[in-house]
Amino acid sequence: MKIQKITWVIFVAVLASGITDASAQQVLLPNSPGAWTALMEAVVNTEDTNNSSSTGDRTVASGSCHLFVTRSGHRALTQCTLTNFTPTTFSFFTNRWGLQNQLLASVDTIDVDDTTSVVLEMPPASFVDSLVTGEARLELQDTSGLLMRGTFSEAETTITTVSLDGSQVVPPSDSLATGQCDILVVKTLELAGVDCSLSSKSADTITLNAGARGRTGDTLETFTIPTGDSHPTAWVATNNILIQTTSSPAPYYLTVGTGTDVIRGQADGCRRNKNTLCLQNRFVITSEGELGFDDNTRGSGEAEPISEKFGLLRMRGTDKSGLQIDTLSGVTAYIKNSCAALQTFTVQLTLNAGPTNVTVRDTQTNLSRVFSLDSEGKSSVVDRTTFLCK
Amino acid sequence: MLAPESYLMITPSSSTRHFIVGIAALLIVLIASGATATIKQSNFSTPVTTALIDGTAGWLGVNESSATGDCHLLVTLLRTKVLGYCTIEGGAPLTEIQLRVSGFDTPVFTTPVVGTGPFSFTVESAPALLVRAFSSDSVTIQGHTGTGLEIEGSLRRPLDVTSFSVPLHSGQVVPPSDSKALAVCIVTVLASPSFLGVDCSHNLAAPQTFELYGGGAYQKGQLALDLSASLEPTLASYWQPLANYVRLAMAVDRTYLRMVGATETDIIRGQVSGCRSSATSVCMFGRFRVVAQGKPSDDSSPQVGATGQLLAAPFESLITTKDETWKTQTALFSLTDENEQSLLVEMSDGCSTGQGIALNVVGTDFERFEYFVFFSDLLLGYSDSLTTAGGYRLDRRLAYAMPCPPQPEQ
Repeated sequence: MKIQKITWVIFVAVLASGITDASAQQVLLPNSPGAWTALMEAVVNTEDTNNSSSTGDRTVASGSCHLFVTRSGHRALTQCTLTNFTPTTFSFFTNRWGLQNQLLASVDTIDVDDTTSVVLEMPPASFVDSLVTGEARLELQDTSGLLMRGTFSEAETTITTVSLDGSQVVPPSDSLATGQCDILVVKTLELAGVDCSLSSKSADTITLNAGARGRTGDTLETFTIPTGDSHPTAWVATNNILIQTTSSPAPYYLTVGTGTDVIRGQADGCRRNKNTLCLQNRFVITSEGELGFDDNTRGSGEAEPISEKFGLLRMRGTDKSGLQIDTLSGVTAYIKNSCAALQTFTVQLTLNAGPTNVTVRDTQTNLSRVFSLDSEGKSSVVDRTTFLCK
Repeated sequence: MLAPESYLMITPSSSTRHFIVGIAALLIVLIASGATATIKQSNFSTPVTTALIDGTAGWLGVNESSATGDCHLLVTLLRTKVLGYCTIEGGAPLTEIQLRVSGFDTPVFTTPVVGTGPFSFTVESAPALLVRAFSSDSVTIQGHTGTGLEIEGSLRRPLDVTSFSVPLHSGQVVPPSDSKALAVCIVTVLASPSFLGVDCSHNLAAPQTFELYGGGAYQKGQLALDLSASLEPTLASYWQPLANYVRLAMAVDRTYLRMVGATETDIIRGQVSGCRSSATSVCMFGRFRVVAQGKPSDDSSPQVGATGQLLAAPFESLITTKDETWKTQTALFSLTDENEQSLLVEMSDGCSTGQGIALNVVGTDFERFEYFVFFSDLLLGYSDSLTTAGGYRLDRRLAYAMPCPPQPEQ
């Protein structure tokens, strides 16, 4: 009995240590490209400090690095803007599960442009995973051995997925090639990422143009890509017009290749960001209501996709001190494809929060419906509607 | 020590009282100050296999080869490795095994092999492309000979998988040892074919021995498997066929893991029991086993078991304040393949700072379907259930509260 009591107390201590948080299953969220940013700081050791004090003033290195990881995870592109530091080696670390400072990848070759950039092919899964948990770290080293370090945090992005083929070109091209591209824009960093999967390897440029389906428009950006790559990527500083266009409902399109091989894709699907839920890659759902537990504050729900058909708009509020409260309070949204039998999509919304307005927009028809859900007097509210398939 | 009422077992008749307790716990969260919120991600060991659902071989000869066999792979907890094991019968001897991701021309992994197997191999470090592709069932495994492709199969996530979260510590050793070391192992058991994965992180200094024994808790048992070859300085990873008698012993919670360090007193042990995850059962916080049943709206049949899964990173939180720490995990239960009739169950564990465990549920449509959720607290040894049946809908937000186990005395 005594043994059991001791064991039990130790077991409680083990549970409290958090080491048993490993879980045997988890739903994998739909893949999408992602962007992370790290504020880089010079690592000052004792010797540096002594030298600095003896020599008077020494310029301090500073800057930031921004990471773009593709949808498939096949490539990680890093771009840094640094002052008083010229790195020769990029090293990627993680701290996970009590294992500290695990070096996962190191890249020596860098391309020097206006900024310092590195492309990491086939990044390790453990590094990409640790980005999501805020445990991924970048370390830069220069020829003299000086170091800069930073920890990546997720950047707020807008992502649009585009399907390309020859029939969308104006006039249609003879190309039999097809492709799919994700365009990711980070407004705060003025960066754009392109991540494509193409059936052809011959293209050397991707252009982004303003313009509606069936029309042509001004070129907003040209991305140069190496030929021979069926999964080309770009991660570049971009202009304000492109950012405004891709972040708003304004029409735009991508073209890949030139001449008779050109293919085009219209960006008329969802533009996903922190507050938009994209279901069936067609319906954009947003919410506006009371945030969490502070009933005086209203705002937009944060999108948590669960599958292509099901997601949650979480009303994540803060208390008076600014502490963010994470709960399931919010709107669940489910859209069923009944096109074969009923020629409709069925939309089902459930509210588990205070009064909330939910907007569902069909990006193909641009038809929107607004639902005013109010749980007053009831604990949850359900509403349904249909959208025509065509 | 906590107040005596903290030990009380929760019953449906006391739900109102515990709701109030829950609200009180919630208010404590609300008045917290000077805090930061951090999203944490759960992790897991993931098996994939070429074996078909009916158990027949799915790694099949091509180019008129008579070869047939199966491959089973395990992605480790830390995602640093993928362990592979392949068997083959017939056909020509293989010289190379490749892993390929759909849409990519070149293999993501290639390893030389010799002969007719079975073949064991390790992908280290596992690329994100490969691990992500497993989740969309878009990885194929190929066996090549000197003349070309001999055998090929698609890798998919098997249905009949049971996973145990097993903490190892000195207190479970009989009699308890003096070791200060800790380990956590994810034990993965495939039913068909019978396969065992053991994937651990530990802080044992200079580990010497790692073994699986047959035997119940607080009893000395008999050696069933020597896992010592899988030991590394801070990890251990094992993935091999499993004898049926060991699998049956695991099914009735009569196996344990034992690690020994540099000295004879540096021993830790963990019972492979209790909190397990499967297609219909979720283990939350390594302590609560949660299952659900429901009655679909378009089905006249009685209750059916719901599939259950733990949700990924964005649904996990670690909220730390000056005085409190709350961890949350969220599970998704579904009565249908398409998640149309789903239930989200969120648990918030504030026990490390004495705040209790709070529960919150959200359904996609409580008006049209019923849910019965069953909780088993494997630490305190009680069970309870929660219902959304008969049109009854749970009150907004926090629905339930459970007591903390008594904490170790300071």
